Amino acid sequence: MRDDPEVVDLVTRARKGDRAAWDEIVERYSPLVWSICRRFRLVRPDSDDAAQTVWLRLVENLDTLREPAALPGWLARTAHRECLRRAREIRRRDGAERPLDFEPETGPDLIAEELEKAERDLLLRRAFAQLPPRCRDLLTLCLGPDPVPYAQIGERLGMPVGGIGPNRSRCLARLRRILEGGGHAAGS
Amino acid sequence: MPQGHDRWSDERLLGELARALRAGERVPPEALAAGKAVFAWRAPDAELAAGDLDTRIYHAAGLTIEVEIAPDALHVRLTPAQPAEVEARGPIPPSHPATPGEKGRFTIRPLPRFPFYLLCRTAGGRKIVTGWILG
Repeated sequence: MRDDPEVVDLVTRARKGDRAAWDEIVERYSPLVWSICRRFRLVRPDSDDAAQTVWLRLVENLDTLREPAALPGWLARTAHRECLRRAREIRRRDGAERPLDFEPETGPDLIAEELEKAERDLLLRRAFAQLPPRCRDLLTLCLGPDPVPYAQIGERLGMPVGGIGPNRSRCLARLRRILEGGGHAAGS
Repeated sequence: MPQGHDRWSDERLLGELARALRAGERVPPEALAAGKAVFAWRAPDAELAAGDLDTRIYHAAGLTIEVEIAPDALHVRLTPAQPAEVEARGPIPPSHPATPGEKGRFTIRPLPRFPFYLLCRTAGGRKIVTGWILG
């Protein structure tokens, strides 16, 4: 993700005023920003405010961002800073009832960890979105948290029960091919 | 993604996929919409005045913008004093024009809703914006 040419393209287009490119940036990286807010135990509406501030900062810095390819890292650092600021404000507001029970020093680790997770999740979500609808429906039913019995899956999708296992394998194989052929996969 | 010998099993891949999709769904739709909406307030052809969130003093080439937040109004001072159009811009409502006073002073009453930024159009045709003022 950090060297994703698509990210550079999105930033370049957004700089020129392309709304769709901006929307795509927000869609792609909101889970990253949100996940960092959760690490700071921020709940709504504080998490909304912190996330909103991150996007305001990006609009403000869009033209001066030195390395568009490094956008995810920039967003993660900005989210970390804004969430920390907000968490401290809450602490001041609510006194010692809600102490900060994490060390701000863990910032670089937290950021690296969240970036890696977000990178993996984004690749998976994008690969999943490229699957045919029938595969997406089948895998969604197989995902849990409570696995749907094959008989019910068969009924819902109009698929013979004996075909579900092999179809599931085929869909997962397809997902793997998309992931491995994506050009961004590590070690390829 | 792990490949070759490290390739995930079907169960592991399903588990990772479930986690990834949940992470995507966790963002409330309103937060997503709010993030998208901020793009509309962009002023791409303006100069950004470097500023300080705490002192609320912003510097552009040859111009300083001082912002003071009072309970009922926003006071802005341009140095050197000069004729200009000053407005606060934000999501709702989009623009609050300032009333010019003496010696480079401007007032916006009532205080605009946060967040907003200031846009100054100088008589010389420059467009200068501050960073977002968050409250």
